[in-house]
Amino acid sequence: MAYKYCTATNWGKDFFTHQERRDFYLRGHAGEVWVVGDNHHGDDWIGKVSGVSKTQAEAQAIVDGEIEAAQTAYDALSAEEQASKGSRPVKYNLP
Amino acid sequence: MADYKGIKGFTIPNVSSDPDNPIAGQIWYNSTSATLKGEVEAGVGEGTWAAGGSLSTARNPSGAMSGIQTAALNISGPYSGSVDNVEQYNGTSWTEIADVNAPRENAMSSSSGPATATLFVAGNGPGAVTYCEQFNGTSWTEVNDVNTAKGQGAGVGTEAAALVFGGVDSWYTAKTEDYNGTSWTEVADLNLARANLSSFGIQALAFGVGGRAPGTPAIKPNVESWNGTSWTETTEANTAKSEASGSGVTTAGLFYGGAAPPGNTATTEYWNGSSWTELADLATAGSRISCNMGASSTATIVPLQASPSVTTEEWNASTVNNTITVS
Repeated sequence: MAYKYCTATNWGKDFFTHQERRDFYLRGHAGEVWVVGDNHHGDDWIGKVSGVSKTQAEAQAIVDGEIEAAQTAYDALSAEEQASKGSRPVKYNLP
Repeated sequence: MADYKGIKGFTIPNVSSDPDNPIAGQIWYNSTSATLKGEVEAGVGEGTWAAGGSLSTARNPSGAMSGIQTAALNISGPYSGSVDNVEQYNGTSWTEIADVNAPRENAMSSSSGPATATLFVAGNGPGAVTYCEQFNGTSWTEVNDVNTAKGQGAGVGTEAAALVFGGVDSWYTAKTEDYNGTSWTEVADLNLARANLSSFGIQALAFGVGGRAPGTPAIKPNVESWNGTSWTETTEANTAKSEASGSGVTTAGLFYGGAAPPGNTATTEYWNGSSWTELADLATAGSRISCNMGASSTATIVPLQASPSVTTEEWNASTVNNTITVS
């Protein structure tokens, strides 16, 4: 599957609808990064949310930066606080 | 040789284009595409997640939930610096309402009860506490404490008949407590002591799903069923997850989001009373603790994020039939 990448701020209700979730792949990531299925429905959605296009590398860098910040915040917690927060954030690759 | 009409008593219509408004169960042969097609009834399996209303205050994923999609509560969250710590959802937007008396995180709730009569149970503030508060639609009142201080457990039921189980007191606990509207009583333990598990059901018929427990791997796929008296191990979920969320009843339950190594997941699983099926993913992977909510598997909402955030997602089963290709 081919993807497009953008950043967009989730404004809440109807930012993405049930119908849009059926029409194209959509996955949100840290840093307001969105991975969007590359079809005309996905293009329409990027226009609707005024998405700012990114390359895959640019999108990955944003997500990595957010996760690194979350890791730093997690590491600063006490052991008790870490236990109640769940797992330490882990970096991963965007599709 | 028997033909279709001989067996079923009717023939399959041979048409050059699909009918405009087929009804569920209708079958036809499309001669143009040379495919046998049918109309499938709408239902949970065709559900999706859409963006829900944004919370007023960005929160860490540690608050409790109760109510239904169009009348929900998101209660407290981080215990330090908590202000405006309860929000109410009307299906479109969140509104700040009366604060709880003792802000805390990782608390349990009467998650399948109405938002206007919610129990907010124990939690971490910062250590495990026994406090319980009840909402009457306007304000919060302290009620009788649970017997054992705990956070990161699961809760189901209503303000008059609740059940909380699992979590962490000084260590992972299997303890289960039952509320009768006045006081808490210890009842039979879970088979597996664990925390950050998901739940759905009511006080008399509940499920505890996934969670963390000692041993490797720490995150478990275990599922236990409560019959009002004891817990029984039942069919494991497809994916081992903790800090996930749950909603529904023991014959129709959802288990969604959560932590599944190496990170958070967006997966949704549906329990139909006998087996688990993968359904459509959330748009954003994320985990919550003690975020179980609602007795409905066809419409629910979850604030779900990996860091403080205002975003939420709403699950709705499809109300639109779907045409499928049979062969």
